[in-house]
Amino acid sequence: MVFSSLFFLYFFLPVCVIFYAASKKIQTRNFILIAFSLFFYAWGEPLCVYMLIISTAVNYLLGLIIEVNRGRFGAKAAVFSAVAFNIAVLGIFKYSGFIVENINSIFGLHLDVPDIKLPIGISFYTFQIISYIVDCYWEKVEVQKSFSKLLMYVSLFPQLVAGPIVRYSSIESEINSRRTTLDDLYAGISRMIIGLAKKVIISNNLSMIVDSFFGSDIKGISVVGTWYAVIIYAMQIYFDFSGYSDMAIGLGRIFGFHFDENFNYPFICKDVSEFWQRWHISLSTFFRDYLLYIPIFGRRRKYGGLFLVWFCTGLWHGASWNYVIWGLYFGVFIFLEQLMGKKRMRKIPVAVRHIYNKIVIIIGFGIFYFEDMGRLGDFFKNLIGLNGNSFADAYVSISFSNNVFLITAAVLFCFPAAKLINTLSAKHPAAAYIASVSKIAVNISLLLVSSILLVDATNNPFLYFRF
Amino acid sequence: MEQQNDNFNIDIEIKRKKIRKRKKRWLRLRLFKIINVVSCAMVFLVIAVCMILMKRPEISEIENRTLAKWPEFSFKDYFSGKYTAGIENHYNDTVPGRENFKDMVASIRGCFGVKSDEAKIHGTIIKKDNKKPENKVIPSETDESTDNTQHTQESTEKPVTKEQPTEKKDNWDDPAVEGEISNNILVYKNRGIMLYGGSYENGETYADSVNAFKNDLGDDVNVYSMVCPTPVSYYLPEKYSDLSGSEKDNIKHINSFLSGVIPVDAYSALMNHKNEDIFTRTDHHWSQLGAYYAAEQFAKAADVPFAELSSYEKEKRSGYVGTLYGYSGDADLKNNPEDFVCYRPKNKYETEYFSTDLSEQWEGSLMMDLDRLDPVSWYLVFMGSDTQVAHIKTDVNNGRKLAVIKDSYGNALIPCLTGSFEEIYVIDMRYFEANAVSYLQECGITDLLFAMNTFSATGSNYECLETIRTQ
Amino acid sequence: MNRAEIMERLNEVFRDVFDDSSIVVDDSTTSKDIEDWDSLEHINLVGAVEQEFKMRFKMKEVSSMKNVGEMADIVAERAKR
Repeated sequence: MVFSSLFFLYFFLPVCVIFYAASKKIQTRNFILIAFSLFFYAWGEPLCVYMLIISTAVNYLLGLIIEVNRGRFGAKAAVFSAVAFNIAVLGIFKYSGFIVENINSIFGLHLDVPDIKLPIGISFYTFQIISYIVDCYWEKVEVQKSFSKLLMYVSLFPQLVAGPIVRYSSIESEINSRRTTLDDLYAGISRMIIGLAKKVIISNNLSMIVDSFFGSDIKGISVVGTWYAVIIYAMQIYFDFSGYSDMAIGLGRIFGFHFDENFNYPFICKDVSEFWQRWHISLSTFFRDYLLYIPIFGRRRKYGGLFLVWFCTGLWHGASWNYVIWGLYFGVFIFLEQLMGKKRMRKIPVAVRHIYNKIVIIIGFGIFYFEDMGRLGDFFKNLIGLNGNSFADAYVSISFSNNVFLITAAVLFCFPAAKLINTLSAKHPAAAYIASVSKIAVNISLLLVSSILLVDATNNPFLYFRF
Repeated sequence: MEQQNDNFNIDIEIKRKKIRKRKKRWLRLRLFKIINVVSCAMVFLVIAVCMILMKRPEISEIENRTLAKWPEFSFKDYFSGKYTAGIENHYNDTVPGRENFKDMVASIRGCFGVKSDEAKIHGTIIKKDNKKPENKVIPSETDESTDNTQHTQESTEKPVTKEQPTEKKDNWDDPAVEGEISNNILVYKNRGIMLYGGSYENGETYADSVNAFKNDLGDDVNVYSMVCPTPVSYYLPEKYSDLSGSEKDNIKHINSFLSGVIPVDAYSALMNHKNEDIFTRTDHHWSQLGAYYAAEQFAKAADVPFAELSSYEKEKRSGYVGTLYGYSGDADLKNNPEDFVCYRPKNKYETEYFSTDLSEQWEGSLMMDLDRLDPVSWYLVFMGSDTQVAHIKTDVNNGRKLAVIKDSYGNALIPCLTGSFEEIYVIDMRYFEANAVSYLQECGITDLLFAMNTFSATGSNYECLETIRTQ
Repeated sequence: MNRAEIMERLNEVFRDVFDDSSIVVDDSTTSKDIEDWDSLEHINLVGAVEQEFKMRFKMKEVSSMKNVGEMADIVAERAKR
């Protein structure tokens, strides 16, 4: 089940919310959330749902062991086992094919390449469980003595399938007690509708443009066309993923949970390092807190940690070398920026910094798109016209004209337009009224337009779905 | 003392008024929030209830397919996730009032931008075969109807036009139809134009297959190849000519590789009548008028009589919006329907059909009843379906028996030839299940025409020829 | 070594790592207060503090220290010089 489908929006969600609203006690509400979340997950993964439950159970038990053995070796053993177990599960289900393929090519063997279907959301919930067990060991959170409550945290359907990676510590108290106020409902529904619109109205239609250029052999695509398509792709991914995060945050809010933000207008960044502080924030903070500071090389090696984090960031996105290259690609630029130092970076004129980082980011998205190395090579050649491709052609001008309003809107919403409106309306009461009334119209129309567009979509999984 | 108290009281009053005002504002904003939440919730509930209670459609006319049905349960399907995915797909696909919503979608998408010089582009950009074609140096190319050389050109004395059975798009859920189309569609001045990529290499393979048929059938059978161009050759504006490959060059290249097979020049035949309604605007097929001119060219090449257009009974319907709307989703096509015209031959003929494996036989009509077809499917008037073999016995007595191996582009040709041949067999190259060579020999045919559009000849359909020849 | 001494030495370390002689830290200073203090600089900082006081932070402390005050507490516990 995906959020951007009529089935989820108009069957699953209303039923779930009605049940939830009808019950008053927190225990019943939690039970309802667990039941619906497991049903939601089992709907897409009738077998792997058991893997999720087992994973949770293993970590639950190890958490108890940690608690019982505080300060002793047993606790350390338990947390190491838990992390190893979680990584192993992720490795087997997601990376076994990739690993065996590489072993085959490095050692010239011909082992059978396992073809395990990737259970949806495994990259997300595995990291969430790790955040629980490690924080439990570090005493940042208390051990969760109730298995069902831990299961609810792991399986909570708003963020289960495509993020954000919600830390146990951030919702620990809300598991036990939360309310849904009017503001929660208002903010939650609005946020969810905005996320839906970002996905269905903007991202899906941008993807049609990208597909038209990159959908088959790209050797004949013009230079301008290649740049055009990859820029559109960067926006497509942003609206897809941030839209999904918006929906997750909005849905969580409806049930009284407050998730941390996952995107903060990444394209207004002034350098590549800043981009990653604004993009998929839950992933970068996860790696920062749990990976970056591992003293792998004995001494505090800043660059060792950097390399490790970016390798993993790339690899997390997909079991394919282009993703690893993509991660390391960013790592290299962040490394270079570190070498320059913040003071010297600040001396460079802002316009230059913007252009530089946009080019880096956009080319990065090209690496992200082309899983096949041959096509990736074609992509690079196309960018500078080395494939015998023309500089520009009628395709680009026609496509751009045909989509000029959509593209303009997309570019506009890459900027914090909404924030501007909010700050304005805070100052002038008249503006606040207008804003409040228009928000009603905006919500309803975005919801209706998105729903109508969904009639046409036979299949539109979120891009980050394969994680 | 009194003054001070008064001032003090006034200050308190002003402060109280301010607080009341602020509270009022806050309450009003809160009210708007409530309205917002309630109205959104109402939308959700109303739609949810409608989706459950209202009747669901089963077919999509505009997409030319049956909609997803409720899946059958099996444990295997459940555990693989197919069953639940099927339920969700059924729910999402069979939305009540779906066709209306699809039209709204087309309108919404129309608002995303403007036309670039009256053009809109849809679909994945096709790869053009830009390789300069090295035509075989056998000076028997169709455009230059001069030299004959060698053994290959004995039968090419007359400019033979091959009949191209127009592809019919009558099969629900038929992926094989894809071979004759590309989804890269340019909509220019309310006309849908499929952009052609072409492939010189594939064209050579097509020629090889056709040559092989000639080889198998021997000297007693005249074999013709009519690869038929599509609107892109006639209506693509000059400024966009680099968007598409050249059908003319691809056909020329194919013809140069034919050996013993007579090429029929439908390209020029249609060019001469370019300003008539030889192609429809909203469908990827040609009109019967276009097929008529191509058939005329073929009849000349085959040296058979040919019925004048005035001898046909003309039938016209308005409000036709064909397949290109479904493929492109472009509202301009939907909003500018055209007239559908067909011509019924007035001479006497009987039609029987066989199943594609030749096991069943039934009597039928060559042309269907337009009023029994939905507007978007009016092209089905020509023979109705592609998954069958047709056999027509006419009142012509010239001993000539024609077989047409076609792709879905040219079903419209057949009615135009009922005045030219004694018998006509029609085989669709994508669905025929027997061995074509032995079947044709059994039927005692005298002429074999390969008729399809350029997309089929140089696209994924051309492999079908080898299949039916050797299976 | 008392708390004030620790804070003074920490201050020097901060000024050194961030190359900014105007920095003044106190118990409540967090990474939000110093512009260049991000996760990578944090590693430099931690390393420099460890070198200065000849001690090691535990990994959990490195990632969960909320402010300079907590840092000073840990230093006070474990510093060997």
